[in-house]
Amino acid sequence: MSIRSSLESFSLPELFQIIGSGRKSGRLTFTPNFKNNNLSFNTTFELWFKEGNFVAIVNYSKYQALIDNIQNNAWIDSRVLVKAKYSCPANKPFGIYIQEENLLDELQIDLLFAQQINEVKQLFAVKHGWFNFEEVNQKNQITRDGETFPWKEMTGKQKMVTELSFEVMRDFSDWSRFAEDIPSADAGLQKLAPSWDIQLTNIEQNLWDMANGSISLKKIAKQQGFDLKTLQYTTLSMIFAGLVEEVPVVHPSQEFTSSSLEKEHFNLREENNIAVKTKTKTTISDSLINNLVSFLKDKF
Amino acid sequence: MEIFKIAVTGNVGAGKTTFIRTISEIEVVDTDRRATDETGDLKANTTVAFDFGRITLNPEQLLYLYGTPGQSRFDFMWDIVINQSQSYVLLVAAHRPKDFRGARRILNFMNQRVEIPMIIGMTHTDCEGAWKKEDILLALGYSDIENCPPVVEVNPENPSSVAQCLVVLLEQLMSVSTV
Repeated sequence: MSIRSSLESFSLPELFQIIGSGRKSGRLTFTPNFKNNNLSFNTTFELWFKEGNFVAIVNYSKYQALIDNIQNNAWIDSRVLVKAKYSCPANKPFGIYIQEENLLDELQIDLLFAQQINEVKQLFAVKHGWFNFEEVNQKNQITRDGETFPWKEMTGKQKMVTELSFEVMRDFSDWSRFAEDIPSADAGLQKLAPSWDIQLTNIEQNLWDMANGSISLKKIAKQQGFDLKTLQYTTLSMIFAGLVEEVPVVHPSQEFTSSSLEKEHFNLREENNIAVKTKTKTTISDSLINNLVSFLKDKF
Repeated sequence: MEIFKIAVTGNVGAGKTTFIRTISEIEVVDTDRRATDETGDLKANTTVAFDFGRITLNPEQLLYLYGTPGQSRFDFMWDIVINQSQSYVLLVAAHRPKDFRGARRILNFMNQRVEIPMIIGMTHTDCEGAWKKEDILLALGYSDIENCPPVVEVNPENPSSVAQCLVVLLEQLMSVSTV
């Protein structure tokens, strides 16, 4: 079973969050559809991940994109490059091999990987399409078709997917696509990660510092003088990156007690008294639980 | 009289009403109806905003099942339902990834409000496009599968499946009580 969905139902940053938090390895087949009105998306892409890190992209409309990129930069003589292509051992990223052969240096490999990262970032603009993520097994193969990592398209570099996603979402503008995901102005935040390596912007740092579940976004915006919408969008990008979680704000003074609300709205009569009595664990007798289990097992 | 109360929560369309209706001995009061006389204990003279079902074990022991309100906005009705309950089931439709973030919001809300035993009931697991359990748990924010609540595949239309789900919840309650 794989992770399949339309982009309308589950967005790319959400999927990246899952790949990252699950430290997943595998192939994401990403197929934009014609509704995107963008010819550069008129093809299928394969994105490959290793333990929650992005490692390679394959564009179905480009044959041997990594080798083409090296050629376009005229960094290696064509004949040498072709020879390297055939002499590169299986199961070894091509980027590592040509670096070991002293054909390219570290900086050049970094630039090639940056081009791949850039291509992935473009995909966040795709609104309509489908994806299918298939995990690799212990032999690094997609179970269904036995396909392995695209070694000839791999630089040997990797980047954490949540970090990649965060970089894209920071500069994102088409937030209407995420209307249902935008955190409520009344929501608070809770930290999910103990720390973070990326340099945070002022607004991100403020959100991070106040992510303790007791202050709403509305209040943060007012206190710090931030535009509320901008704050909500920034929050969502931090949520997608797995930095924070949206939580309802708890005001100690407003915590629910049993209950004037019940009396006011429901007239629960004797039920109300029972509610108070059964709210604590000690009021649930073993007899009740045991009878319930027996009843459910016997009757149904 | 002893009453054990279970909340059934989840996104709109996750199967809460069906779940309760399948196992309840009384006609379930659903979110869009006025309460009937049978459930007079629970109603005022207004339209109720959550589902309610009941199982009578004996004249002294009852099980109440409450469905959380249908709307996604958390309001005082949610507080009433979950504060009445001693445990809860979160229903998640495995074939609707669009709802996973909403289910995660519900989880966060519940965790913020109460500390009671819970399980996750996955519905529609045999449907086209259903995600596997581990991936849904990741979408719900459980990156450590070892430390997540019990997960049960449940068919809300099948009485024995619903009963089995409730048994797992009760066993979870017993395991928590004995720790």
